[in-house]
Amino acid sequence: MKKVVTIQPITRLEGHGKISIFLDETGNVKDAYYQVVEFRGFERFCIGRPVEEMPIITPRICGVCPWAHHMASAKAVDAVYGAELPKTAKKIREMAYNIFYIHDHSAVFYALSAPDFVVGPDAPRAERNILGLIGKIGLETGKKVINARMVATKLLEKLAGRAIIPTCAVPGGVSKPLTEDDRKEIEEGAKKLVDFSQFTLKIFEDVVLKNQKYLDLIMGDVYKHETYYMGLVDEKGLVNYYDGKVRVVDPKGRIYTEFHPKDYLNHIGEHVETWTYLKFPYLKSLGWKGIVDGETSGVYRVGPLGRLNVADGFATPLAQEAYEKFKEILGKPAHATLGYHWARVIEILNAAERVLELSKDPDITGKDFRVPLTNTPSEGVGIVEAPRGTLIHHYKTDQNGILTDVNLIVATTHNNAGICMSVKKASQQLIRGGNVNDGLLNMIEMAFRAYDPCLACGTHALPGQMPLDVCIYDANGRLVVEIKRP
Amino acid sequence: MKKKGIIVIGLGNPILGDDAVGLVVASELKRRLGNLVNIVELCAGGLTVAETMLGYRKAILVDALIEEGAVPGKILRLTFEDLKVTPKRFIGFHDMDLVTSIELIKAIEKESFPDEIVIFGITIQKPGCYQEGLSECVKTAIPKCVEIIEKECSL
Repeated sequence: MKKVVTIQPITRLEGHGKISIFLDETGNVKDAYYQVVEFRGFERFCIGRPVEEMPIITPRICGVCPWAHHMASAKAVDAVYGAELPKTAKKIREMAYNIFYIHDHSAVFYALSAPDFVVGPDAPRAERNILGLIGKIGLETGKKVINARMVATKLLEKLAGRAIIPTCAVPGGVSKPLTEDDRKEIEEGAKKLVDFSQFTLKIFEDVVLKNQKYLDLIMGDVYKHETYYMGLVDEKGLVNYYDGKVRVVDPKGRIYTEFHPKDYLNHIGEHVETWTYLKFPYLKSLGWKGIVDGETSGVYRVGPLGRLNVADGFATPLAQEAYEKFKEILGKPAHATLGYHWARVIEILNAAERVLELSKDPDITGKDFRVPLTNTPSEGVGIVEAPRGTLIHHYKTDQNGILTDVNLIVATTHNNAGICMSVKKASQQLIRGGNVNDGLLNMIEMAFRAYDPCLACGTHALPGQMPLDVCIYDANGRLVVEIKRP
Repeated sequence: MKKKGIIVIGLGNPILGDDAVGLVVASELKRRLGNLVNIVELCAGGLTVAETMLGYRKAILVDALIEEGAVPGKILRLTFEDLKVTPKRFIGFHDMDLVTSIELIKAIEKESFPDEIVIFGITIQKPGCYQEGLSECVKTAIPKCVEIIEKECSL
């Protein structure tokens, strides 16, 4: 008998996606797919434009992570011109980027992650959101979050003129130097952000780590995949969001390969499936073996969990302390997908500590903030760690700097196979005998929410909040459950 | 807390065709009104929009709007309550939907939240691909929309 259930609203994910779950005759899950059903090619829009425009254009792909595109793009343009940046410029860029991390990661944690744990994964859908969260933890906490975002916004404005669609990085450096007054203001703001980050980590520890039920959920098999991981590390092998070499570790945590950003095409291939617009990147040396985990599969994951798995640790003391605890409980590599949330709050702390550190660095107020571009432009790759994972911008130009080829690989694309596997595994373990309820469906949603997928970036598609549909089909292919957002 | 007067926030994405209309209206208002009213062009959504309104007595939002069956270029004046009753999905960048964001910021920052929010939506067709420039139908709505918002500011 056909049964259609419509539950509204689903209000916590950007992009346009669809989860299709197929049941067998016994009502158990035979297969599940995470599909992206919209595509608007961005790369084509860029061809024929001066490459210098890219750091201003690319942030408009996504209102969630404009700074990530801004920085990756600026680095790619630097590479196109063979520009070597002065240390002041590098440090200003890194400082701005770390402030953005706090702004973005804190919104993701409080708006997307925390409702599942604080309000509860099986709480009524209408309450399982940030408003429900504020109801539970109190307005004072809400004020702290908004205040921290305001502090971050003000600091970004100080560095970039505006916090959204930044103009901080310019080819060869940054748009302006920092004055001593700016520096002092950033230092004061950074202290507040370190306090806020510690407060956030404490919330996570109190609510999640002290609750055995949640710990079991995080560490259980429902949300676990033994994959490869990828992320940037600095020269000491520590987490770095702005710069470094790309490191890949295998499912046992051993370094599988390390490469310079310009060599990414030697290591990453992209598989295409007909049922989704989102490609499936994989490690070329292992080949595409399908949407499966394990040592022989080329599937890898990126993002907060990936970064903590590839790196030897953090360069800042408080984040390092938190990382030691993370390793002790989840192991290394941590294969628990819900560990993304924990890794994210540790990274907020690391980013805040790094901003404070850089604000005290004598180089930060240096006057040598930009180099002239004197070389003939040709080709360049820029890689940063976006909050959601490794972000690659690759540009080719003619000798006048006009773009002839553009390739972007974003975090959500790297994680595509991981998200698909997570959705399938959670569905298979949670839906039995055709019994589906709202709590179970939310727990399936949790499998992909951990990655915080951004489909505007993933498809370089029409940005904005788009429908995410969850459809469950019986053994005869009939739709039995459908959840839509308005 | 003593609030400032009016903020006009033009929303949109300049490389998504007609989605940029809110930005164009804001830019024109800035040219005409100068510093008389605080006017912001924002390529963002959700929480950022709600945070930008804080500290003002009245917030006026201008954005592209998709309304099924509507001719492009129609101007709608909506209040926040209208959005809740008949959700009109704004397009543009969102880190959280506008209604939830406004409700959240209002709950947390009651004292500095505007007493009044007015939304001007200009209907557009769903943008198909990345492109610059507005369609003729949508362009023709701009002078009228600017005039209406000027009056709204002087109320």
